[in-house]
Amino acid sequence: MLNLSDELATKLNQARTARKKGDALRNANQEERARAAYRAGVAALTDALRIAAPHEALLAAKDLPLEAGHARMLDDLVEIYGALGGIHQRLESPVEASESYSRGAALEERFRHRGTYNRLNAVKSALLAGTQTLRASEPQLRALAAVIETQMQESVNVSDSGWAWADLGDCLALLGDAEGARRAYAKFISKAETKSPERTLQVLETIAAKLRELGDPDVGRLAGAIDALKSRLAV
Amino acid sequence: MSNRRALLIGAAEYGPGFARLPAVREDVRILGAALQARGYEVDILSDEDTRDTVHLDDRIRDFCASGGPEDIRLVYFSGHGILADDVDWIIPAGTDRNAVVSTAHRVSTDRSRQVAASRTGLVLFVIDACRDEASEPVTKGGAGWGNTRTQWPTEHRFIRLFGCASTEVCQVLPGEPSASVFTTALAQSLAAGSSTLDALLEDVASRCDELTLEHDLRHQRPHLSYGELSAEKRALLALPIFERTADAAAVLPSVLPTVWSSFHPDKLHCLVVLSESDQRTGADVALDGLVDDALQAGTGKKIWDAFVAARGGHRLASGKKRALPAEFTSESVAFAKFPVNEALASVEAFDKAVRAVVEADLVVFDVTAFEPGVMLLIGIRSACARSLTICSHGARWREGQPLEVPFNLQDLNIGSHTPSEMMVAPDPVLERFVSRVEVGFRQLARQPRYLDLPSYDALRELGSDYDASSSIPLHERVLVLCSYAPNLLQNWRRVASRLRARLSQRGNPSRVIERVIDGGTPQLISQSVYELIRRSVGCVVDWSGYSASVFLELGVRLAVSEWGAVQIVDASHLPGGERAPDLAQIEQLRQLFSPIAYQPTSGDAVERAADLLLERTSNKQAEFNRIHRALLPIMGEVQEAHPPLADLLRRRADALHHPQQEREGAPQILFHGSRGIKKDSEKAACELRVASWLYLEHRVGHANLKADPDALALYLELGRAAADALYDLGDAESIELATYIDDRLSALD
Repeated sequence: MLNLSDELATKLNQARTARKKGDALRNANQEERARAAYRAGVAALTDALRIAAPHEALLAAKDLPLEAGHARMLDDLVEIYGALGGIHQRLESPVEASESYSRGAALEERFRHRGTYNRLNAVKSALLAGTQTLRASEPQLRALAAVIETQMQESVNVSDSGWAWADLGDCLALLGDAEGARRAYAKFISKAETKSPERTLQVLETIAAKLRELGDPDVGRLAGAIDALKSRLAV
Repeated sequence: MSNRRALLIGAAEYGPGFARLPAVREDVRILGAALQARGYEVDILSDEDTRDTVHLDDRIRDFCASGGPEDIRLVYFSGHGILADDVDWIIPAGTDRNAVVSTAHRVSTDRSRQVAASRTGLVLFVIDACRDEASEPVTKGGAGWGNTRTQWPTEHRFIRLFGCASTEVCQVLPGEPSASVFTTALAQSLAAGSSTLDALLEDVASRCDELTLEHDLRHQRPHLSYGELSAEKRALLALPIFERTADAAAVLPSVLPTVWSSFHPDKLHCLVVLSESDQRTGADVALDGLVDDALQAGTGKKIWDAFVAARGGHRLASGKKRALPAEFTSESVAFAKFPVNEALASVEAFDKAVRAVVEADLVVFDVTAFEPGVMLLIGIRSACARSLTICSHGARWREGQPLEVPFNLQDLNIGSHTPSEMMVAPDPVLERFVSRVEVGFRQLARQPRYLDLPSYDALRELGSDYDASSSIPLHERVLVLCSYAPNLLQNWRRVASRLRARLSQRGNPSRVIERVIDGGTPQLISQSVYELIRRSVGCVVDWSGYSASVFLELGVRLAVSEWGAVQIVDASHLPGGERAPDLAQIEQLRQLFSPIAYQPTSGDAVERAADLLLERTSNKQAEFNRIHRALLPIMGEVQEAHPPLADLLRRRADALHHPQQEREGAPQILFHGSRGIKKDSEKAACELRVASWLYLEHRVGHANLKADPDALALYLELGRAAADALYDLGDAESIELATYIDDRLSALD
């Protein structure tokens, strides 16, 4: 009998490969094939959500603290929603991306999950969709930055994680703390795979372009963080 | 459980030039019955194997090596034999007389080297085969058989029993069915109750006299061939090896009786080596008791779980798998202990101790006073095993207190078995010991290069050049391992000078005669010393001062070098001398290794040492190191096999850049803050995964992968990670390969 976690892991792995394949093909100007790869990723993650549906129903009835088994289910769901949001964003499906991040964010919030990826990307999605301004996002961003910093102090594993530093850098960049963002991105670049910061830079630049297009008065605060990230990547 | 087994070989039919020997079948029958009656398991070699030289040789070889230290193996041959090249040979059935000029048609009766390399307690080769006079069908012998020119077997556990003496012939009794004189006498003697070889020989000789007289045959006197009559040999001859008993352990003397008779891959083998000092003072916690306590129920389970994590499922070079059950029971552990003096008491005891020290998964050495005997065994273990070793010190020393540690053990994490001053449970000494073992096994599981003793890697990682591991000839270097104590400096100078002079005098000047510190290399001594110990043909070990480092190095040398060591000692440091330490083991070591005693002011003994060194160039056939030779079959059984290639490459890739690293932990590589270094590591990890995946794809193939769930899982994992990394690289070729991998994985998914 196939282990449920194994099945989920397989789907998540397939989706990750599909995402990387899509990114590679898009960079190689093979847009059609890239989109096909992204769609394959969405299919794998949709399968994953179907497999994990009983988990989600089970978690709905749970409160903190979670048992180890339930905590693993939560990890899986948070990861699926985050990955799905990321691929939808690449497919330029902002509504689906936002929905996926929001569902993941709700889980992160409710169970005080150590991950902040969905919460942060829910904010970024709203900015990209023009449904929220930078100023309006500040309370959420400050709260997120505080959560990340607290988790980093409490757990060396979180501070070892490249992704946590990326999230903190993004929060600080969007809050206009260029120096804080620079420091966080430096850690992120040091700890993450070499490819990851390039994607972060792309997203930041896309957000800045969108905010400029929408006439967001605070868009200038992003410039310092983008420059900082660019200069670190040039080293 | 030890045992006694006999392999009976009868060669009745021969080719032209050899007489038929119809008595052979009766010989085999009556001797088989007699041996069975004395408790021997009897196998009779098939006619097919008896006719084939290679098979016959292999069967005898395997049979001789098949026993444990308390087992007896008796090989019996009745047929034709020949003396050639100073060796007594037996002739396979079916052989032509003209063919035996070639060694391809005869089989040596001298099995001493094979027995020496085996662990079998005693091998007795009984030969009723001296019958090469074709003109006399009732006799079976030839002049020269068992001649004094013959090389005597040097291995004391190997004895031959010939049916007649030199210049005599073995004969056959008249009658139907006929049988050989010697075999008839042997079977009768066994039936009459002769139980020792001494008694048997005397009785068989007397019966041969009676039989030959009764049947009007020539005189025929059986004899034993066993080389020098050492104390060990004398003891073997007096053992009741033919006494009827269910358990041969009762027959062969059991030295170091707690040591397991053979290695079981499904058990944790734990050994405690106690020091002489600790035995004498009796002031400390009994180390063996401490370890025994640790292996009980609760703490034993912790140790077992950590051990299973480290070794479970691993393959050994022998092909066996360490199938360790998850459940911990009293049967899970093979536990042995001995004081070092018992290990040094005889050749048998030392061999058994060496085997245990190498086979054990966990050895606890009492290093109190860093005694030479203990250090010698530590050296052997450090050269042979990447496993868990705990060095524990007593004599009121506690962890954290200053301790003068020998040079070669400076890195060692020494524990203490000095008793706690606490009078109530839990016992902190026990708890700390259990924790040390548990942590050690966990580290062993995680770190492929885990070490708790020096030398293991330094002996092996010499580079891949074809000559990196080759021998350093005598004329290039003589390595001297000796104490660096200031009061022995003069000794070293004199020894070096006399060695140099003698070697030159004998026409073999050695370019360098030096200690490790004299080499002038910037390399760490811990690296260079073990390389030289492994590679130098000429090695002189000076015991003077009984430096712990020197005895550790001696142990390493004896374990790894076929060239052995020429051992010398300042006579004043030997028992009775003014500078001899007060340790009984010194005399025991002297008995075991016979170092050449020298007077610092006289050169004769050192000259003898130089002459022994020169034998290494003049006598290529000679054996210089019995311990190394004896270790070969042991290492073949217990050394871990190289991991499967795909798994090895995956581990190396993960160690550079784990696929889960980004979100779970800090990068594995140092200086990951440098983008260039990180990129290089990620690329290297990617290429390792690609290589590993391609190996599985092309060397193993989908059909085989489907039949092996573990290999299949590895194939999928590697393929996925390789494809991800290739997509990240993003160039056209990488994308193409990644897509290919992706498609192949989808075909299996």
